[in-house]
Parts: sequence; C-alpha cells; structure tokens
Amino acid sequence: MWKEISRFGKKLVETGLTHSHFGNISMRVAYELIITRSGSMLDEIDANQVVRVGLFKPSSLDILASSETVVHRAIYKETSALAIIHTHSPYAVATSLLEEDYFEPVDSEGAYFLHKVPIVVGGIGTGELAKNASFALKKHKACIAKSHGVFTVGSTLEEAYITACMTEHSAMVRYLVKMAETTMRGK
Amino acid sequence: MWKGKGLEVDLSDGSVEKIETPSSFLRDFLGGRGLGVRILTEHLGAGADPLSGENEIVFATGPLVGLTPLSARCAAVTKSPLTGTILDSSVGGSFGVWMKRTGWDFVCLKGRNKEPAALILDDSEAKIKPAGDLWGKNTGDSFDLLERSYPGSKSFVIGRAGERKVLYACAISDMRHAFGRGGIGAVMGSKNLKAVVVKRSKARPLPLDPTAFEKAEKEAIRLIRASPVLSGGLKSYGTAAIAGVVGYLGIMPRSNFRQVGGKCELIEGEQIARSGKIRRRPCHGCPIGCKRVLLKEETSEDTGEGGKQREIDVPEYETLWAFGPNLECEDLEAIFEANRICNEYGMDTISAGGTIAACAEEDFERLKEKGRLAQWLKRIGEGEDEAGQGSARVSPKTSMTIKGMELPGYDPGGALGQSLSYATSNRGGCHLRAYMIGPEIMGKPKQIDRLSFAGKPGLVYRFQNLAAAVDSLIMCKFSSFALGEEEYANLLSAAVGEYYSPEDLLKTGERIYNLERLFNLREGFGKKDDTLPERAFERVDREEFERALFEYYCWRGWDEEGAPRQEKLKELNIEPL
Repeated sequence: MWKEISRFGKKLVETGLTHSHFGNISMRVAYELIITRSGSMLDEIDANQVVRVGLFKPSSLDILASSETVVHRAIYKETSALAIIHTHSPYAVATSLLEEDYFEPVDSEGAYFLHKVPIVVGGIGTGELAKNASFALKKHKACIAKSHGVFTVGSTLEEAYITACMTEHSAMVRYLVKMAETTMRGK
Repeated sequence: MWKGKGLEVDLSDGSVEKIETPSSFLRDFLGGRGLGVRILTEHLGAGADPLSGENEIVFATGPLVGLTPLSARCAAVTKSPLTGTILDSSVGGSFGVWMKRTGWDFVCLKGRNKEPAALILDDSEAKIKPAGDLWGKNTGDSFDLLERSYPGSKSFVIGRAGERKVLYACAISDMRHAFGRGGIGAVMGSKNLKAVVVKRSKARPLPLDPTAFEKAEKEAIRLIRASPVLSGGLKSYGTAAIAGVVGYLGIMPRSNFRQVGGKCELIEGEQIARSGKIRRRPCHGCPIGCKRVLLKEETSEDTGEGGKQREIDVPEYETLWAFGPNLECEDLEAIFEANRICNEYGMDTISAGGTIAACAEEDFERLKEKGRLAQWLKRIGEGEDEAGQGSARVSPKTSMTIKGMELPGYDPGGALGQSLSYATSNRGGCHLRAYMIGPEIMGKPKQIDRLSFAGKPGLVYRFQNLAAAVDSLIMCKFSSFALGEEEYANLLSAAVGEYYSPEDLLKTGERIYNLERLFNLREGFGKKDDTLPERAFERVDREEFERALFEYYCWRGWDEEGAPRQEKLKELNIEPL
C-alpha cells in the first residue's frame, strides 16, 4: 500500500497541489490506517515513510505518524472513506480566507461534482479540526480547513486525488472570476 | 523572570547567607543547569571528593519556571560520585514551581551536617532543622511525615539508598519524580541532608512583558498541540509509547546490549494500558501528562477493608527497558515492583538496571526467579551489595557505561548521531544531552538517516547547545519535540524583559557546555573518555566514529584532545578554571 501512497504523493507535488513537505495521505486497512510519517516528503515516500496505527485507539506509533493523524482517524470513524488526502492547495486556502462557511464552485464540473465545499475551523492536529472536518465530510467529498488546506476522501486514493484536483481547480476558477469581476467593476 | 537572589547554606555550621545573584550569571547562564554549573565551577576546586563536605549542590530554578506549561522543573548541579564528572539533573512534578514562588533563584549547599537534617525554605529565609525522625525511612514514609509537619509544602527526599551512599542514589519529589542519574541522592546522604522542603507561597511569578509573553506562549501551545509526539503517543501512553517506536525500528538493546532488535510488546504503552485503569499524573501545569499511575483495587484481604484504590507508578520507558529486555525479564509485575523499590529507596533505575545487567549477564535465567530482582534491589538500596557502586566499578568487563554512567535503552549502532551524543555527553552515558533520538528516530524536528554519521557532528553540537539552554530555562526536554530555539527565545525575552535572539540562546547553551567541559578536563577526563563501550563497536564502525568525533571537536572549537581552544573561550566569555 505504501506504493499507492507514494504514487499519489508524487502526483500531488508534481501538480502543485502541495509542496513536498506539506500535506499527508492515508489509507484505511480494516481497523488500522496507514499514514505518511510526520515530516516525510510526499514525493519521496518509501516503505519507511509510512506507519500503521490504530483506527479506534491511539498507538505508540502515533509518535511517528503525521500530525494530522487525529483528523484522519475521525474522518474514517465518521465516514465510509477508505482513503484520505490532505493538501495545502494555494487557491483553496486563499478561498477559505475570503469566504465564510463554504464556497460554491462556479465552474460547471465543480458545481456538478462538488456542489458546495465546506470551510471548517480548527488548529493543526486538534480535536476541534478532527470533529469539524469529519462532520463536513459526512456529506461532502471535500472540505477546506480555514487558512490551512484541503481534506478529501474517496474509496480509493485515486478518487480522493481527483477530488483534491477538482477542489483546487474550482477554487482557482472562482478566484479568477472574482478578480476579473472586481477589475471590471473598477473600470 | 529572575528574582536576583539566592541562598548559600553551610551545613557544617548552619549558617545561611542571602546573596544577590550576580546579574552576569543570570544573563549569561540563565538559570537551572547553567546557573548551577556557573556557581559550582566558581566554588569547587579540582579533585574534590564528591562525598565529602567539600562538594556542593546547587539547586536552581529558571526564568520560565512556573510561567508556562512544561516548565515546572528544578535543577540540581554537583560533582557526581558515580562518574566524577560535573553532574546536572532536574526534577519534574511541582517542586520547581514552589521554589520559584518563594523567590530564590538558587540555593547552594556546602559542608556537612553533623546530624541528619532537613532544609526548610520559604519566601524570606532558609532554616536547617533536625531530621532524626526521618532518617532511616524510605521516601514514601518520609513524605508522609513531612506533609504532616509542613502541610501544603513540596519537598524532595532521599531514601535509605542515599543515606547509605549508593553511588546512583537519587532524590525523589512528589512521590514519583526523580533527580535522576549520577548520584545526587548520595551527595545529599554524604551531607546528612535528608530533605529539602519548600513551604507554600502566595507569590506568583509573572513575566516582565506580559503582552509579548502571551503571544509567545500562545504560539508555543499551538505547536505543542500539533506535535504528534507530544499530543499523540506521549499523551496517550506516556513514555511507554517510546517502547513501541524503538521496537518497531529495531533498535532496542537486549541482554545488556549483547543483542539488539525485535519488539517487546510487554513494555509497550498499549500492553500497559490493558493491565488496568491508568490515570495521568502530570507535572504542574503540563497539558501532556506523560507520567502515569495504575489504579489497583485493594481487596479486603489486603487491607481488612474493601474498595480502596492504590496508585502504582507506571515506569518510564527507560525503566521498563532497564528491568525488562535489558535483563531478559518478561514479567511486567516484576518490572513494576523494581520501579517501586527504586522510587522507595531513591535509586536511579537506568543505573540500577544497567549494573544488575552487567553483573548478572551470564545468568539472567536465575534472575527470573520470583522475587530475586526485587531482593537484589533492596540489598543495593540498603547498602549491602557492591552493585551499589555502579557497573564500571564492580563489573568493568561487562559494564555498558560511558564515563562511568550506564547507558539507557537506545542502541548506539541503531542511531549513530545518538552514539556520538552518548560519547560526548558531559555527564556520562546519557541520552538527553543532544537527544538525537528526536531527529533520528522520531523525525523531530526533521527525519534524518540514523545509520550514517554524515552531518551528525554538527547536529549533535547544535542540539547539545540547545538542550543546555532548555535545561537552564528550565523547560521539559519533551518541549523540544514541538518548539525550537525561536520559540524558546521569544518566551525567555518576554519573561525577563531583555531581548535574546535564537542565536543568543544557542550561544548560551554553548557557553554552558564548554564550562562543563572545562570542569571535566580539570578532573582528568578527555578524549580517551569520549568513546563508547567496546561492545558498542560491534555495531558502530570505529573508524567512522573517530572521524565523526574529530569533526565534532572542530565544530566545538576544541583541539584534537577535546580541549576548548583559547579563541573559543574568549568568544564565549569564559575564564579558564
């Protein structure tokens, strides 16, 4: 499974959805999850850069796991997700700072697939973020942690990845449209 | 913040002198370990017998103690009877906060009482009181008596091991926190000093720049909460979580370092959590709470009454390892009992376990007989077994020590930066001087290749300096899994109202480290002692190690023999001893 995580880690960085050192990826395996290690580089994942930790209870290996493990755990407990991707996508983050509770994509595909993307609050690795993100992802495929980044879910990593790309794409289109509108109004 | 005052107590004649802490000491050495080192090196001449009245102990708080979470500690600095090096130790719990509230930056003890005594501190003074009623009692009974005599106070005491000058005897505070390693308890015992008591004070330390402090503290707490080490494993399982990590990575030493590798589920946090109701017993104000107790229901057969609960201390990882895989022991109850005995008698568990391992390595099977380990520890604590002298003296061929101090549970060959840190530690076989386990094992602040020496000398140098500064502030070592020099410098600057940059902080740590080194050089330590036990070289390439050591000396600005060059001392504003 680390190879799947490695494949999509490279894609996330190559497509600019996140920088090498930011973001994290996990996959659920029955009552455990495999998650990237804290401080790992997403485009250089090997077998030593992922750890397996418990789903329902904390593990000693939480020490090595991503700082967002508590969020991933909560999402798996509250949803039927089998894979989670977390990125620091720039346009999505910017959008989260310009909107309140959610943003609505204006591009047709984004509107069709994402409907609304909730914006949630909570600090990095906190119970608050875990609760808010997992609640949002019960009904949506993606949410944005305000000023922080995107969490997407899927039954496969590819699905979560597509949603991550779409969220960023929709946020970018929306941002550009808003900018253009503002510029035109100014004239 | 600093109070600028301290106490010098001569136990020989009972005199207590209030003195002004020199501002240069505080500015250049901060407090805690640094202040203690500065004062001790000022006072103590070469060749002092650690167990004579000539030796001194300096207890010191730091500028952050009592102001922020993870800052409740008190430091003690002396010459170690176990190693002969300079020794600093620090204790958690609440004692540090109580002492800080009384307003004393430090208390320096010299001489020797003729009779057993206790030192009683409050806001205005210190008194030496007879402690004949405490002498001969172990720590639990001593705390009971002191609580009755001084309700609401905090204290640290020695048990019978310290009275009998077991060379790795420690002092215990709050029932379960230790001034561990190196024999602080033995030094106290040699002075007939049974206890130090601090009465409750109404004063509350405050930062000099509250606005800046609030901002710095908020940032620190945010980072602490986001740290997977602090808010993940340690918060869930205490330091027993480290057993899981060390086992997972295959660097757990076994059988007195004769073997390495494999997991030991018996001592992992998850297994211990299954053994009963576990509760946190955090240090004062700590949000992490790595200390644990197991609640055991006492039956009417035990006590004649029903339904009472007893607290049994859950050992730290180092203790679980020292009495567990290190002795091939697979009996968790025996490990818990060993920990309890060490707490009761006041003995360092790593040295106790390491010494027993060295003495018994040909016959660990015999040690597994029920009660044998406990009996041995009690004999040591009573001063009736030569193992109380430490493994370097009683079993030099099998001793796993550096500068006479027993190694803890991380294989030097599995984390090469840690091996260099062990070898260059100023107090001997200690994992906390640079704590390279952080980057090499836990990936904090960043993961590095643990099986290479490349780049490690510079990192060891840097982390040793930072750790010395953190020990002087005094913040819990675990805070460094979340905070860096920038956060510490911001907290310090706001606390004392004087600007310290991150580089200033590291420079202060470097100053402390070099002063400790000068002390040790004067006591006859040198390059020959900056090494690993022979057994470790079965897994560490000796030539690579020597090259790394040479590079480390260069980083330090020391010569080929490991002595600080004059330019370095001048840069750090240190006078030769």
